[in-house]
Amino acid sequence: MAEKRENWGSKLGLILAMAGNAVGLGNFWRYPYQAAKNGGGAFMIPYFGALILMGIPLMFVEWNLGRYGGKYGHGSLGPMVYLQAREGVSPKMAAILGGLAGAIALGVTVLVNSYYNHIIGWTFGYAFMSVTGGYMDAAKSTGEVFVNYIQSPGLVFTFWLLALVVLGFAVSGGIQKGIELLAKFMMPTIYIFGIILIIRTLTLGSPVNPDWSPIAGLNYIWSPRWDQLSWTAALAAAGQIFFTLSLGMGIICNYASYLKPDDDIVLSGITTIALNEVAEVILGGTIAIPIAYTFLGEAGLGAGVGLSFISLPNIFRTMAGGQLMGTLWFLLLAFAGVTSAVAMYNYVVSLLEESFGFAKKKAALAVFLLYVVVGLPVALEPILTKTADLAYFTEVDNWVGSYLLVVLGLIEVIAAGWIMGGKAKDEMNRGSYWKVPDWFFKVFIQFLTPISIIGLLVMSTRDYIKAGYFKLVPSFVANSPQLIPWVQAARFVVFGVLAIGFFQAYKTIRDKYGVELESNQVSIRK
Amino acid sequence: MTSGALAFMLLAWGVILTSAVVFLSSLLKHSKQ
Repeated sequence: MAEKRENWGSKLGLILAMAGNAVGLGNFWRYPYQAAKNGGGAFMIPYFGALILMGIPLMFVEWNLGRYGGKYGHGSLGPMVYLQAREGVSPKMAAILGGLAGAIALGVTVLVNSYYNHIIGWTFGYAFMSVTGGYMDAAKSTGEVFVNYIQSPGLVFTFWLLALVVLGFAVSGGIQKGIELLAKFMMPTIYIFGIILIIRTLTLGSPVNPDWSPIAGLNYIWSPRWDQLSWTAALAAAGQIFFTLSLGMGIICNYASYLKPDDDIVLSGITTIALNEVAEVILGGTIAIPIAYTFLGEAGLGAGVGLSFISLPNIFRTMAGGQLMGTLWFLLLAFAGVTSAVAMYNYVVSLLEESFGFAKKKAALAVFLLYVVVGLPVALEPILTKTADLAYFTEVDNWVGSYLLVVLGLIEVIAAGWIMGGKAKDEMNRGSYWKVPDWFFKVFIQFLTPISIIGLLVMSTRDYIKAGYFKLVPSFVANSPQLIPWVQAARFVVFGVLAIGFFQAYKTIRDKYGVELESNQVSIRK
Repeated sequence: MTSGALAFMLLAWGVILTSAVVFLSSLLKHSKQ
């Protein structure tokens, strides 16, 4: 067992790294179109509800899970969940729960980064094109520019590999000299770029139509349209909370595993959330949508995921200072993506270190190669099929990005609230400047949070079934037969990685705690 | 911008910004690390 673990170098470095872990592409890219699509102000009500019901309690649970596991030398979820679960159920049962948690965490950190790193690559590429004027030629639509980009092997591979190299170097440098240093540079830069972009956005005026302005865009986001308040909007809001806070991925736990045993977790956890919400609700909500509304009106907000890479470049072409705005926007996206992707990268590296005894640099190189392999289908699908549907990406994202996060969150909260119980609360409060009150633990962590997550899972599953995602040929590729093999391949990879993850996590638990599994009694304590 | 939307936005921004400042300053001042 790895007895000596790295630690964070400073409080500021830790909190910036944790905030960076949470602040990602979801804050600036996913949140604006989710808010716009789901009723603006009406979306914000379930959003804040989910933040209180699930986001805050789960953040405490994950920090606690990580610090507790780190005390025993673990950075991966399998043994972490085992250690908490064994306090309330038999070690054999705890090992199965740990195996499930480890499987999902490996699945998320490997598979989400299989496409997330590509999006970071696109942002690097688009930042470069903003500087060089690569999408400024009005003769070609920005939709065509984007399709050309993802179908161009040179552009895709150059910037994707560049993103992987940046991540690899950061992780190789270790916690203090790699990840912490990266966060200390990138996080303040994100906030500064965000503020510059907001100032420019709010001073755009009404260059196209007197009714279209940044203020009208803000009005669109913040006006509660009660008729659009629905289960669909509530599910989207709850899903966004998992995404934006990086919950149910294992990466908050992994960063928390580098805390010292008595380091604060309650105040640190809530500060992470507050910094993330500044980036999401204030910065993320005041850039993309108001810009799009100013130039395109309400109709321009329906672009969904294309908002960042198709609609905004089209605007940057025409607005004064558009090249500079474009550069800042795509660099902001790139930095936000990097500070989250590096956490997923580090999770897999620390798993190789603790389970297979790899040295840091060797593990970082192995994960680099792993990410190249799992990212290849995402890169190759548009190039080989000459389509822009990204079916492999969509299928992986449906299963892993928006479904498994919730299952892992449920396992974590059950392990802490129901199985470990009051001991988990005492553990959370140990060393913390602010304490989690008894009523909060009982009402939220033991009751409302797990019930809300179960409700979210049931309703999401119902929606997935209705939308035809579970069919052998899912609805979104039913009319594109050439993409069906890509979807089937995605399913094979998802379940393959989950199976490998389960056996790897179970084996790690058995290797470290075999004595307990044989006797079915807890005997190893620190 | 309607007064309802403005009030909702300012309330949300106020709570978030105040929380961030109070939590971060408390953390840097008091917590163990």
